[in-house]
Amino acid sequence: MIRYFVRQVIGLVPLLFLVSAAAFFLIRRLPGDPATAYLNSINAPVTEESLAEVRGQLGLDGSVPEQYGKWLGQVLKGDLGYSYQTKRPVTEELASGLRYTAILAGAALLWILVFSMLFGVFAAARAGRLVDSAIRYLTFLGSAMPKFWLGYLLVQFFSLKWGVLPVQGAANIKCLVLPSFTLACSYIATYTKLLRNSILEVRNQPYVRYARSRGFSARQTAWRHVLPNALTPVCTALGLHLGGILSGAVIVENVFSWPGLGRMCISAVTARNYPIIQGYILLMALIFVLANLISDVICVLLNPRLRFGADEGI
Amino acid sequence: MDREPLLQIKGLSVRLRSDDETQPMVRGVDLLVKRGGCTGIIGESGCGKSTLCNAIMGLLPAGQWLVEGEMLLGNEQVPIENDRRMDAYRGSRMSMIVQNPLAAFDPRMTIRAHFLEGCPWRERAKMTQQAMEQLDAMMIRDPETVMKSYPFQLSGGMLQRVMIAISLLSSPELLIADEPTTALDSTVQAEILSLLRKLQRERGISMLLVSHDLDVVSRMADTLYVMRAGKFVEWGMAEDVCNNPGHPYTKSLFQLRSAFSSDTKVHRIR
Amino acid sequence: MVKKKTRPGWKLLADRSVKVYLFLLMALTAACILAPVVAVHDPDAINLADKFAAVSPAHPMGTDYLGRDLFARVLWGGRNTLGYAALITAVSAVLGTGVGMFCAFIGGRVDRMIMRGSDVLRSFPGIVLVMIVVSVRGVGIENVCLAMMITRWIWYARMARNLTRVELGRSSVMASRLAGSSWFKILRRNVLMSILPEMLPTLSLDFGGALLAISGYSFLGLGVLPPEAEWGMMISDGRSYMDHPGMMFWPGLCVVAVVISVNYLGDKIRDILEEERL
Repeated sequence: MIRYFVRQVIGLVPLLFLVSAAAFFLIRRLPGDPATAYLNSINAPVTEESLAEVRGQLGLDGSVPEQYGKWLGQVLKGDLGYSYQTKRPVTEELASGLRYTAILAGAALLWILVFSMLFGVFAAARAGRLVDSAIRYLTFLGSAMPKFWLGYLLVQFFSLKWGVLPVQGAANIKCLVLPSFTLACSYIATYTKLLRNSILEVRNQPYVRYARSRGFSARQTAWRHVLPNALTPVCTALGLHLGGILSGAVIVENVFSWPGLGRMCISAVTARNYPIIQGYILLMALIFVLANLISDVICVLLNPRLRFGADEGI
Repeated sequence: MDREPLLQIKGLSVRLRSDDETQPMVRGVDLLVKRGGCTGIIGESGCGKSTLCNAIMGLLPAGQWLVEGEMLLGNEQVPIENDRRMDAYRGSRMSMIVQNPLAAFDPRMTIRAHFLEGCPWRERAKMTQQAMEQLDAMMIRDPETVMKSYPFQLSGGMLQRVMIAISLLSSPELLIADEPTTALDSTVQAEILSLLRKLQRERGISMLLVSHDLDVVSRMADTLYVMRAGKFVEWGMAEDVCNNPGHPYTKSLFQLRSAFSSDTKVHRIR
Repeated sequence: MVKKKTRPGWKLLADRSVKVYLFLLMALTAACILAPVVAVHDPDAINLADKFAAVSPAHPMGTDYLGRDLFARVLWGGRNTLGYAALITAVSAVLGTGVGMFCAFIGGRVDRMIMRGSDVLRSFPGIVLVMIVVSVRGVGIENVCLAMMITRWIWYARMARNLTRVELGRSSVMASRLAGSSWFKILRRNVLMSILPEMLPTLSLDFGGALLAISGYSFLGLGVLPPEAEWGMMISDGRSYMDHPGMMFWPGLCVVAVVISVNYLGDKIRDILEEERL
């Protein structure tokens, strides 16, 4: 089992390498001399000595692979430089952004789990009837709805018309409701559909019929056999989408002025704040690798066949 | 030799509901299983054998299927037309062994979990003990390991034995075996059949055996029904049906078999 | 062969919802293509005297904060949104199908390596790649398109590869080979022709995804830049004027209409193909 994980992680190493290289060359492409830019960024005087010193600090005095190695060492130590705009360490900025994005994504995950379970189970239980088609139309609408538009529609009604929820900001829990739902909406649609079809498929499996033949009622088999088996593909997909949910938060954060990672990065792109962009890219790649790993772990936990390896038969 | 009847079915018909019409799958059959006897049903695939079995077990959801007819288990009228009310009979009074044992077990659950499903907490130890004994009786050498295994870790023959053990755990009056050996290779098939025969002889279990394989049925059954397109075309003592097939369909079935098989002793009945 | 190809098409059109969605899609596309004729107003003509005009025969969707006609802007914006989405989908589909068929045909180590790489990239968040490309090459729709193509072709490659492997195993391929057809001809005639209908649902769904992404990036200010119109960007414009919801209502409605239509068509085509297979 451990070998399985190690193999999965090794498969992702080339990607991490590529992304880090991309991030490295990003900082290379700074307009003008990076050392000068750096000195300007920390409001230090630009002199011959200070330039040489900074070049040494930034690892700009060797060959390109050498520089990359030095830079990578610094990154691993958690030193990503300073934000041009706020002059604070990039790691600090990213950490505060990540906290807000994680809160947003977590709340969205809650919406997703509750609603897709509810809709998916309900639609499958009433497959082919009115409720099922009603839910199907809702999922169509949900998956076609652009996040930026849905967000504003919600604001129009809940904030401007009825005044129950705040328009933007991140001051209290009420502020979280609209952004997290906006983020969750398309995923709810996806998972409702996935779960419904999965339930319908599992329901026809021989083991469900055999369980019923052992005297268990339809309701008992539904909870013990159908739902757990039907949830397996949903959980796997959820693990894989985790990175997507976190990065998909960009638009929602912009709509609701939520102080998360994505909004930080977009303003960094327009302001050409390269250290922040670089940090964002690295962090996202890391999160992506972790999400893949989580998805693998979930997959293994849910599937005994992977836990043991199929060759251990008696 | 004349035993009292256990299962009596009169005029059972099963229809599949589609949008605005119903499609008949089983058309008014009468069936009798005697206490301690083995009744065989033979017919080619798609003739309605499995549907009949599922109807007897009450496994056909009333929303999709229309089941009509009368069924007596012992002297008791069984609500065969309502699959929900059949929950009380399934598993406890009638058990079923299904085909393809590899697909019949929940892949997420160990064999132990299958045995213990629905068992109250304080009876779990007792149930485990009983399960081990039952597995032992199925001539499984290492019941301990089998109990801990997941279905995919066991072979088809092993799983079929486990399935028989599970079905006998509640000491049912009737055991329905729907193609119990079809998915197994021939040596395992022979082992399972001799095990079933031994169990039937030793414990006096009443059995309804359904198969498309004449060999399997003729080795087990004392009474034989020949099914075709949802109807029984011929029935009687197995020996009589095999030796003097009356209906042209039965004849063709037997001819086909002797034409393709090197084993010419078709009519040997044990 | 001919019969097999036409029948599913008719089946698709027999569905009433399909007709409605198809009509909607075609009408909207035609209106956007014919924008210079249909829209009387110049989409970029500023008329501050007439800003936030209500819906009227002269301005069927009203005007925005600079007095520009929203109807004209929606149509001209649709040219951008639909055009770029179509471009991205087309390029990644052609590229991906080519690579996928090549992989299936070559097989062996090259195939394994490309597929393993695509496995890794498959769920990599597209927006990160867009950020990389945009910060290296600058903000602009060309760069966003480039970044999107880099990730999107992979889906087609995987699908085309798997379908091609199935097709290459068929006896008809062997027959053509024995009849002396070259591999190129077989790939083009037997394989490509049979996998194309299978890829249609993905193409349709992916177009919807590309459209949402394009308008999303423009909304963020990374794609189409003002003053040029684009649906996502128009919604972004509208956010400063929440008390005039028309500014974001109309472009948003268009996005939803198009995406629902293509999603429905994709699903329906998939259903029909599945029925055919049974």
